[in-house]
Amino acid sequence: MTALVVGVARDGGPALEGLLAGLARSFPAVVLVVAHRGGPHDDDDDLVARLRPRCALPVVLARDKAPLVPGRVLVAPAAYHLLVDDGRCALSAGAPESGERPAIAALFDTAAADLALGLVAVLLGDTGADGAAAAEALPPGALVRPAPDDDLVARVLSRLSEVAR
Amino acid sequence: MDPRPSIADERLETRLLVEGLHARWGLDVSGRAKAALRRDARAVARAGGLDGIAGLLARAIREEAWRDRLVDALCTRDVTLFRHAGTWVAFRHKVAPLLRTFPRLRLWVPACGTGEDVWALAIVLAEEGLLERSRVWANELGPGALARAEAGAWPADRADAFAAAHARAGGRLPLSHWTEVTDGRLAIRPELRARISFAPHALEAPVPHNAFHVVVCRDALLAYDPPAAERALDVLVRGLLPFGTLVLGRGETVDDTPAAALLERLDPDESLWRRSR
Repeated sequence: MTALVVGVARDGGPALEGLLAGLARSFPAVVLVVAHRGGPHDDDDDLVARLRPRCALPVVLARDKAPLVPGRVLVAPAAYHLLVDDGRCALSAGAPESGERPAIAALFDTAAADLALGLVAVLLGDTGADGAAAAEALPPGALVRPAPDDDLVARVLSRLSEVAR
Repeated sequence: MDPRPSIADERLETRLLVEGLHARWGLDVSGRAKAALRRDARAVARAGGLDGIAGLLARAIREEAWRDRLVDALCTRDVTLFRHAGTWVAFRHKVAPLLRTFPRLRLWVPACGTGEDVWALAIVLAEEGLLERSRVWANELGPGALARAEAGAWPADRADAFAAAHARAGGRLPLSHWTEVTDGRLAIRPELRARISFAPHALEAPVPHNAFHVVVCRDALLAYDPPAAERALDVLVRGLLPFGTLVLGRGETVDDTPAAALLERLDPDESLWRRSR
């Protein structure tokens, strides 16, 4: 299975909406999203409701132990970390990392450790220390960096076909 | 500085850590979710200046203090008082009325971590006029976590956040009615403590069946892998009286588990279930 993991800074909302809007129904990978919003104990959540109309793929809150499903967008709930564990989502109420919960590092680190996943990663906006820690956890070549005037989705699809196994 | 261990190294070291804890101390953490266990072990090693999970393994099989440090890390959730306030609002509206029909209530908070849900439950029971008839049993495996739960005290700088969460949770009086600030700590008032008892206990261990009117176990099953979580959920559900209430964390579900056959959901948005028989 292939996975696209997306880490989103507080200023990355529009970029996230743009990325999700560019995904066709035939998108082959599971998409996992960790978006910084509020503080680590802020547990209100309307992110999925805001993203859902913008995306052709189903967008849902990641539930603990839910299987990773290609063509679905799983969003880390507020005030939980989202990990990947043996082909499933795993939530955690553990301490914030780099002051963030959900932390992008927890997702990227565990997705990289799930050896059955062909992994592509994207960071949107200024993700700070958490984003830096997340990027460090990735295997070489997994991170696709957005660039202006660039078709990010096309580059993601291209990289996904390279890592598919 | 040694290069970062490979994923394969860390998986091996985590597996050996699980075996070592069991062989040396009889402590069984084999049912813990592996990714979280690996990261928690790594964090404990890093905080202690040890050489990775292998370094933690060496200390944890020789020294109780290191074993306890790891167990406490596995048991500790960083949560506020009245986390997910909507759950407590639903509890007041949908569960408290049924609880009022019983002259005596028994409530269980297993795997209580550092106790935030124990004290939130105590406050809600008091505000709903139910505390006097209640006995609450709170359990936790990690000794440090259990001690913190029993202490019922937090840094005073959390007072505002806790008070706001309490208000969102339907608090009828200010949180300061139930807490006091001394020596830079926000602490639960003594009056709330009489009905609450704390004891060490592992979630995997057997408990009486059909005993409790309410079981509160929020965000604890997250720490277990799917088969162990199913077994633990079965323990929780069988501990409930018929028509007893189970309160889980908002990210948790009973769908696709055997226990689901005994439960009906009380609220479409909140993680409250009733044992139907």
